[in-house]
Amino acid sequence: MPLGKHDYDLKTYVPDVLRHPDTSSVYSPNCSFFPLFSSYIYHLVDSSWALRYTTISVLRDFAADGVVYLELRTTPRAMPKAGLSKSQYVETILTAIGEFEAGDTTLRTRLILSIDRRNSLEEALEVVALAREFSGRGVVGIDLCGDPKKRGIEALAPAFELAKRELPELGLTLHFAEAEESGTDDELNMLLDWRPDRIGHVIHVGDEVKDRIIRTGGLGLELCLSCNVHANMITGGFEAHHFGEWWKVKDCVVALSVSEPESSMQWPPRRHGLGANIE
Amino acid sequence: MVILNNDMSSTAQCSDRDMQSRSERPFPTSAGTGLVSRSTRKPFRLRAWTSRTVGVNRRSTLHNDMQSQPTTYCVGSLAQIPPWRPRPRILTSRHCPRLRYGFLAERFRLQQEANKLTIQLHAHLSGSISRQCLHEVWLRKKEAEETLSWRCRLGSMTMT
Repeated sequence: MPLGKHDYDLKTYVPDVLRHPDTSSVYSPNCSFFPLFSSYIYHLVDSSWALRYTTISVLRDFAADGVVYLELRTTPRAMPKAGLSKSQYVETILTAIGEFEAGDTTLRTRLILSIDRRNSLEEALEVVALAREFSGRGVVGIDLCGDPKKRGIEALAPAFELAKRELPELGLTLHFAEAEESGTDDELNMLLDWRPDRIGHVIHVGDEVKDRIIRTGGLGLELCLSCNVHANMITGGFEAHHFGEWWKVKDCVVALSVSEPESSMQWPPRRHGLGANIE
Repeated sequence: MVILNNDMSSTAQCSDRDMQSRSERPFPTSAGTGLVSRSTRKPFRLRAWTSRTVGVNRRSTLHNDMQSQPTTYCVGSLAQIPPWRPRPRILTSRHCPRLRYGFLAERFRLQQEANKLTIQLHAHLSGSISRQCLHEVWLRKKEAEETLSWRCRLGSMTMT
């Protein structure tokens, strides 16, 4: 598959990322999207130098796209092979960010630590502790992310309540109704009870929850046009994206996002052009 | 957009004769270079410059003057500034078509530049790694493993 193509969605994934970009050999075992990270990328990026190398590469890609402020999110993970703890993992990324910003760039990057939906409460509390440790040193928020099929996230509520209560300087952002499985009213109401500052994707949302989002007032919506369309998270393409519905709502703040840099996505100038058309 | 001409050399060249010749022109406030002072005593004449009654000829004169005498006398010693023009002359795009178009072009260029600058609030680190970068990591690890493997083989050969 050529380097500029992308072939993934929420349900199936063709893991061509590890093959040579110039080859076009057929290989499509149709594995799931989310295990890609734990099965391939996490195993590949399992050392300090690889983490630093990939982080700087990502920053370089975003800077090349003209991004001047970036909030990068990652789930802290230990790397036993490299002898890295979760704290050292965050430290390594922050150091890489510092190294990159020391160079000739206008990009400023902050870090958001993610709690994975698969995490236990102990792991989630560990992320909150890390956020507390690195608050003021580049970490600006806490996120909920991960496979939307994973149920039982109510067990993580104490961690988010603790973060909201004891770390007011940090923002709270949640992946919100990105798939049908995670778009039930019960779950969404619970997520809104956690009083997030921003919510991401906001796709499969019922009218009742929509009203509550608007009533909340000032809630930030991270709407990811390219990610939603290319990953087939919505139907109807860019023209049917719910950005066209939400940007008119004055009680919400809409942030047009892409989830990944254009240079790895290869969707150059149409991004801004399309955004302008929708507006 | 306001442009202030700060040509020091032209300031030094300003003479009384020059002042006199400029003041004899029909619209002294915008004579010569087409520069317009905000501190002019006759603002209605400024409107005359830009009104339709001025016509094409007046505009062409303005252009010609701009090309032939692009001088002003605004920066430098305050003593050199004529008393009837106490403040620096300021060129505004409102009074000069050429500048106006230049201003629009500049604004368009700045807008284009601004369009390229973005803020990204929703980016996953692992999901943003390009395939090229992952492949480079894989290659480097593979090379390291092969090197390690050869070292092991060589080591075992030496041992035996």
